[in-house]
Amino acid sequence: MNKKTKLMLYISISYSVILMVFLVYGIYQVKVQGDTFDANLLLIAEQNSKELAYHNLIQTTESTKEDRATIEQFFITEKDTISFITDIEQLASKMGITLETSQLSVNPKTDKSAAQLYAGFKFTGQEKAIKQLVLLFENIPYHKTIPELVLTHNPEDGTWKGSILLYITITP
Amino acid sequence: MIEKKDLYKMARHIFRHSHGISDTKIMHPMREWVIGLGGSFATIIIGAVVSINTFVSFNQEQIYHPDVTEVAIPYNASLVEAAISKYQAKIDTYQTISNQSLATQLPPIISTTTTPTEKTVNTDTVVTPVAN
Repeated sequence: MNKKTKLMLYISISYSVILMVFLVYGIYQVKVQGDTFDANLLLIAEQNSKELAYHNLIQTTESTKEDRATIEQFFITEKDTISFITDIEQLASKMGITLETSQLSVNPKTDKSAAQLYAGFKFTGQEKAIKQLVLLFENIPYHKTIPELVLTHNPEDGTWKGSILLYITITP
Repeated sequence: MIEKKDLYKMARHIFRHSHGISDTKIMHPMREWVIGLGGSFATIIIGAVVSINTFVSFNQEQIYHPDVTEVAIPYNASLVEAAISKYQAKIDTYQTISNQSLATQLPPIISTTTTPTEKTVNTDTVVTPVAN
Protein backbone atom coordinates (compact mmCIF):
# COMPACT_ATOMS: atom_id res chain seq x y z
CA MET A 1 0.00 0.00 0.00
CA ASN A 2 1.32 3.33 -0.97
CA LYS A 3 0.84 6.47 1.15
CA LYS A 4 -2.28 7.63 -0.66
CA THR A 5 -3.98 4.27 -0.18
CA LYS A 6 -3.17 4.26 3.51
CA LEU A 7 -4.52 7.77 3.84
CA MET A 8 -7.78 6.76 2.17
CA LEU A 9 -8.01 3.76 4.49
CA TYR A 10 -7.60 5.92 7.56
CA ILE A 11 -10.17 8.40 6.28
CA SER A 12 -12.62 5.57 5.60
CA ILE A 13 -12.16 4.11 9.07
CA SER A 14 -12.56 7.52 10.69
CA TYR A 15 -15.66 8.19 8.65
CA SER A 16 -17.15 4.83 9.65
CA VAL A 17 -16.37 5.43 13.31
CA ILE A 18 -17.95 8.89 13.22
CA LEU A 19 -21.04 7.49 11.52
CA MET A 20 -21.29 4.73 14.14
CA VAL A 21 -20.96 7.26 16.93
CA PHE A 22 -23.74 9.37 15.44
CA LEU A 23 -25.88 6.28 14.97
CA VAL A 24 -25.42 5.17 18.59
CA TYR A 25 -26.05 8.71 19.78
CA GLY A 26 -29.24 8.81 17.69
CA ILE A 27 -30.49 5.54 19.16
CA TYR A 28 -29.62 6.75 22.65
CA GLN A 29 -31.54 9.97 22.05
CA VAL A 30 -34.55 8.01 20.80
CA LYS A 31 -34.50 5.96 24.01
CA VAL A 32 -34.13 9.05 26.21
CA GLN A 33 -36.93 10.84 24.40
CA GLY A 34 -39.09 7.72 24.69
CA ASP A 35 -38.53 7.58 28.44
CA THR A 36 -39.33 11.28 28.70
CA PHE A 37 -42.46 10.68 26.66
CA ASP A 38 -43.59 7.90 29.00
CA ALA A 39 -42.89 10.06 32.05
CA ASN A 40 -44.80 12.98 30.55
CA LEU A 41 -47.65 10.69 29.60
CA LEU A 42 -47.92 9.50 33.20
CA LEU A 43 -47.72 13.08 34.43
CA ILE A 44 -50.45 14.19 32.03
CA ALA A 45 -52.64 11.27 33.09
CA GLU A 46 -52.17 12.20 36.74
CA GLN A 47 -52.91 15.83 36.01
CA ASN A 48 -56.03 14.83 34.07
CA SER A 49 -57.11 12.66 36.97
CA LYS A 50 -56.58 15.52 39.42
CA GLU A 51 -58.39 17.91 37.11
CA LEU A 52 -61.29 15.49 36.87
CA ALA A 53 -61.35 15.10 40.65
CA TYR A 54 -61.25 18.87 41.01
CA HIS A 55 -64.16 19.33 38.62
CA ASN A 56 -66.08 16.61 40.44
CA LEU A 57 -65.37 18.38 43.72
CA ILE A 58 -66.54 21.70 42.30
CA GLN A 59 -69.64 20.06 40.92
CA THR A 60 -70.34 18.29 44.21
CA THR A 61 -69.73 21.51 46.11
CA GLU A 62 -72.12 23.43 43.88
CA SER A 63 -74.81 20.78 43.83
CA THR A 64 -74.72 20.29 47.61
CA LYS A 65 -74.61 23.94 48.53
CA GLU A 66 -78.22 23.97 49.64
CA ASP A 67 -77.95 20.73 51.61
CA ARG A 68 -74.81 21.93 53.37
CA ALA A 69 -76.50 25.18 54.29
CA THR A 70 -79.41 23.21 55.70
CA ILE A 71 -77.15 20.90 57.67
CA GLU A 72 -75.18 23.87 58.97
CA GLN A 73 -78.37 25.06 60.66
CA PHE A 74 -78.38 21.86 62.70
CA PHE A 75 -75.29 23.00 64.58
CA ILE A 76 -75.47 25.80 67.08
CA THR A 77 -73.05 28.68 66.78
CA GLU A 78 -71.47 30.37 69.76
CA LYS A 79 -73.25 33.62 69.02
CA ASP A 80 -76.62 31.79 69.07
CA THR A 81 -75.94 30.33 72.51
CA ILE A 82 -77.51 33.13 74.49
CA SER A 83 -80.58 33.38 72.28
CA PHE A 84 -80.99 29.59 72.51
CA ILE A 85 -80.93 29.69 76.33
CA THR A 86 -83.29 32.65 76.32
CA ASP A 87 -85.72 30.81 74.02
CA ILE A 88 -85.70 27.75 76.28
CA GLU A 89 -86.27 29.87 79.36
CA GLN A 90 -89.11 31.79 77.68
CA LEU A 91 -90.76 28.62 76.41
CA ALA A 92 -90.51 27.01 79.84
CA SER A 93 -91.99 30.10 81.38
CA LYS A 94 -94.88 30.01 78.92
CA MET A 95 -95.42 26.36 79.76
CA GLY A 96 -95.70 27.30 83.40
CA ILE A 97 -92.42 25.78 84.36
CA THR A 98 -89.86 27.30 86.60
CA LEU A 99 -86.58 26.81 84.87
CA GLU A 100 -83.11 27.88 85.73
CA THR A 101 -79.90 27.38 83.86
CA SER A 102 -77.60 25.38 86.10
CA GLN A 103 -74.67 25.01 83.76
CA LEU A 104 -73.42 26.80 80.73
CA SER A 105 -69.95 26.22 79.41
CA VAL A 106 -68.12 25.45 76.21
CA ASN A 107 -66.03 22.36 75.86
CA PRO A 108 -63.30 23.29 73.41
CA LYS A 109 -62.65 21.42 70.24
CA THR A 110 -60.33 18.42 70.43
CA ASP A 111 -58.79 16.15 67.85
CA LYS A 112 -61.59 13.65 68.29
CA SER A 113 -64.61 15.86 68.82
CA ALA A 114 -65.95 19.24 67.86
CA ALA A 115 -66.54 22.00 70.37
CA GLN A 116 -69.61 21.43 72.48
CA LEU A 117 -71.90 23.62 74.48
CA TYR A 118 -72.63 22.12 77.89
CA ALA A 119 -76.02 23.38 78.98
CA GLY A 120 -77.71 22.20 82.16
CA PHE A 121 -81.21 23.10 83.30
CA LYS A 122 -83.18 22.52 86.46
CA PHE A 123 -86.92 22.80 86.22
CA THR A 124 -90.08 22.37 88.27
CA GLY A 125 -93.64 22.15 87.05
CA GLN A 126 -96.77 20.16 86.44
CA GLU A 127 -96.48 16.69 84.95
CA LYS A 128 -97.98 17.60 81.60
CA ALA A 129 -95.81 20.65 81.23
CA ILE A 130 -92.70 18.74 82.26
CA LYS A 131 -93.47 16.05 79.68
CA GLN A 132 -93.79 18.73 77.05
CA LEU A 133 -90.56 20.34 78.14
CA VAL A 134 -88.67 17.05 78.03
CA LEU A 135 -90.13 16.41 74.60
CA LEU A 136 -89.00 19.87 73.64
CA PHE A 137 -85.48 19.14 74.85
CA GLU A 138 -85.44 15.89 72.91
CA ASN A 139 -86.46 17.69 69.75
CA ILE A 140 -84.15 20.65 69.95
CA PRO A 141 -83.16 20.91 66.31
CA TYR A 142 -79.46 20.89 67.01
CA HIS A 143 -77.00 18.02 66.93
CA LYS A 144 -76.69 17.06 70.56
CA THR A 145 -76.57 14.35 73.18
CA ILE A 146 -78.48 14.14 76.43
CA PRO A 147 -76.06 12.52 78.87
CA GLU A 148 -78.26 13.04 81.90
CA LEU A 149 -81.96 13.49 82.67
CA VAL A 150 -83.30 13.16 86.19
CA LEU A 151 -86.98 13.53 87.03
CA THR A 152 -88.28 13.61 90.58
CA HIS A 153 -91.92 13.47 91.61
CA ASN A 154 -93.14 15.34 94.63
CA PRO A 155 -96.42 13.64 95.62
CA GLU A 156 -97.35 16.30 98.13
CA ASP A 157 -98.08 19.02 95.62
CA GLY A 158 -98.05 16.79 92.56
CA THR A 159 -95.21 18.69 90.94
CA TRP A 160 -92.22 17.29 89.18
CA LYS A 161 -88.65 18.40 89.46
CA GLY A 162 -86.06 17.63 86.93
CA SER A 163 -82.61 18.36 85.70
CA ILE A 164 -81.18 17.81 82.28
CA LEU A 165 -77.77 18.11 80.75
CA LEU A 166 -77.34 18.80 77.06
CA TYR A 167 -74.15 18.51 75.03
CA ILE A 168 -74.87 20.53 71.92
CA THR A 169 -72.33 20.43 69.11
CA ILE A 170 -71.10 23.84 68.12
CA THR A 171 -70.56 24.41 64.40
CA PRO A 172 -67.38 22.45 63.53
CA MET B 1 11.17 -47.04 -25.02
CA ILE B 2 9.52 -44.62 -22.66
CA GLU B 3 10.86 -44.87 -19.25
CA LYS B 4 9.41 -44.07 -16.01
CA LYS B 5 11.45 -40.93 -15.81
CA ASP B 6 9.99 -39.71 -19.07
CA LEU B 7 6.43 -40.26 -17.86
CA TYR B 8 7.07 -38.15 -14.80
CA LYS B 9 8.51 -35.48 -17.01
CA MET B 10 5.44 -35.49 -19.26
CA ALA B 11 3.08 -35.41 -16.35
CA ARG B 12 4.96 -32.62 -14.75
CA HIS B 13 4.78 -30.75 -18.05
CA ILE B 14 1.07 -31.26 -18.34
CA PHE B 15 0.10 -30.48 -14.75
CA ARG B 16 2.60 -27.77 -14.25
CA HIS B 17 0.86 -24.87 -12.67
CA SER B 18 0.98 -21.74 -14.71
CA HIS B 19 0.98 -18.60 -12.52
CA GLY B 20 0.52 -16.41 -15.54
CA ILE B 21 1.43 -12.79 -15.42
CA SER B 22 1.58 -11.67 -11.85
CA ASP B 23 -0.76 -8.82 -10.95
CA THR B 24 1.18 -5.96 -9.48
CA LYS B 25 -1.87 -3.65 -8.80
CA ILE B 26 -3.33 -3.54 -5.32
CA MET B 27 -6.35 -1.33 -6.08
CA HIS B 28 -8.92 -2.27 -8.69
CA PRO B 29 -11.24 0.74 -9.10
CA MET B 30 -14.02 -1.18 -10.80
CA ARG B 31 -14.06 -3.87 -8.18
CA GLU B 32 -13.86 -1.37 -5.29
CA TRP B 33 -16.69 0.74 -6.70
CA VAL B 34 -18.88 -2.28 -7.18
CA ILE B 35 -18.20 -3.49 -3.64
CA GLY B 36 -18.69 0.00 -2.14
CA LEU B 37 -21.87 0.86 -3.99
CA GLY B 38 -23.27 -2.64 -3.55
CA GLY B 39 -22.59 -2.57 0.18
CA SER B 40 -24.11 0.89 0.54
CA PHE B 41 -27.16 -0.09 -1.46
CA ALA B 42 -27.64 -3.24 0.62
CA THR B 43 -27.24 -1.24 3.83
CA ILE B 44 -29.79 1.36 2.67
CA ILE B 45 -32.29 -1.33 1.65
CA ILE B 46 -31.93 -3.21 4.94
CA GLY B 47 -32.15 0.03 6.92
CA ALA B 48 -35.24 1.12 5.02
CA VAL B 49 -36.97 -2.20 5.63
CA VAL B 50 -36.16 -2.12 9.34
CA SER B 51 -37.23 1.53 9.63
CA ILE B 52 -40.52 0.96 7.78
CA ASN B 53 -41.23 -2.09 9.89
CA THR B 54 -40.52 -0.15 13.10
CA PHE B 55 -42.62 2.80 11.94
CA VAL B 56 -45.57 0.57 11.06
CA SER B 57 -45.43 -1.29 14.35
CA PHE B 58 -45.33 1.94 16.38
CA ASN B 59 -47.89 3.65 14.16
CA GLN B 60 -50.43 0.89 14.74
CA GLU B 61 -49.79 0.79 18.47
CA GLN B 62 -52.24 2.69 20.65
CA ILE B 63 -50.81 5.29 22.95
CA TYR B 64 -50.33 3.73 26.33
CA HIS B 65 -52.63 5.29 28.86
CA PRO B 66 -51.24 4.81 32.33
CA ASP B 67 -53.63 3.53 34.92
CA VAL B 68 -53.92 6.36 37.40
CA THR B 69 -56.07 5.87 40.46
CA GLU B 70 -58.76 8.51 40.56
CA VAL B 71 -59.33 10.16 43.88
CA ALA B 72 -63.04 10.04 44.43
CA ILE B 73 -64.58 12.61 46.69
CA PRO B 74 -66.69 10.77 49.23
CA TYR B 75 -70.13 12.21 49.48
CA ASN B 76 -72.89 10.12 50.99
CA ALA B 77 -75.98 11.77 49.55
CA SER B 78 -78.41 9.30 51.11
CA LEU B 79 -76.93 9.92 54.57
CA VAL B 80 -77.28 13.67 54.07
CA GLU B 81 -80.89 13.28 53.00
CA ALA B 82 -81.59 11.05 55.99
CA ALA B 83 -80.00 13.59 58.34
CA ILE B 84 -81.94 16.47 56.82
CA SER B 85 -85.26 14.62 57.02
CA LYS B 86 -84.52 13.53 60.60
CA TYR B 87 -83.70 17.03 61.76
CA GLN B 88 -86.53 18.52 59.74
CA ALA B 89 -88.87 16.27 61.70
CA LYS B 90 -87.26 17.51 64.91
CA ILE B 91 -87.76 21.11 63.81
CA ASP B 92 -91.41 20.41 63.06
CA THR B 93 -91.93 18.75 66.44
CA TYR B 94 -90.08 21.55 68.20
CA GLN B 95 -92.22 24.16 66.45
CA THR B 96 -95.40 22.25 67.23
CA ILE B 97 -94.54 21.99 70.92
CA SER B 98 -93.58 25.65 71.02
CA ASN B 99 -96.84 26.69 69.39
CA GLN B 100 -98.85 24.42 71.70
CA SER B 101 -97.14 25.90 74.72
CA LEU B 102 -97.96 29.37 73.46
CA ALA B 103 -101.57 28.42 72.85
CA THR B 104 -102.12 26.72 76.17
CA GLN B 105 -100.09 28.60 78.65
CA LEU B 106 -100.12 26.91 81.97
CA PRO B 107 -99.98 28.93 85.13
CA PRO B 108 -96.52 29.10 86.57
CA ILE B 109 -95.72 27.30 89.74
CA ILE B 110 -96.29 29.59 92.62
CA SER B 111 -93.54 29.23 95.09
CA THR B 112 -94.79 28.64 98.57
CA THR B 113 -93.00 28.86 101.80
CA THR B 114 -93.40 25.17 102.45
CA THR B 115 -90.39 23.24 101.45
CA PRO B 116 -90.45 19.56 100.50
CA THR B 117 -89.89 17.41 103.51
CA GLU B 118 -87.43 14.64 103.76
CA LYS B 119 -90.31 12.18 103.84
CA THR B 120 -91.22 12.94 100.26
CA VAL B 121 -91.00 9.86 98.12
CA ASN B 122 -89.31 10.76 94.89
CA THR B 123 -89.30 8.77 91.76
CA ASP B 124 -85.97 9.21 90.07
CA THR B 125 -85.69 8.47 86.47
CA VAL B 126 -82.24 8.54 84.98
CA VAL B 127 -82.11 8.51 81.27
CA THR B 128 -79.04 7.08 79.66
CA PRO B 129 -77.23 9.29 77.15
CA VAL B 130 -78.86 9.24 73.78
CA ALA B 131 -77.27 10.71 70.70
CA ASN B 132 -79.76 12.80 68.81
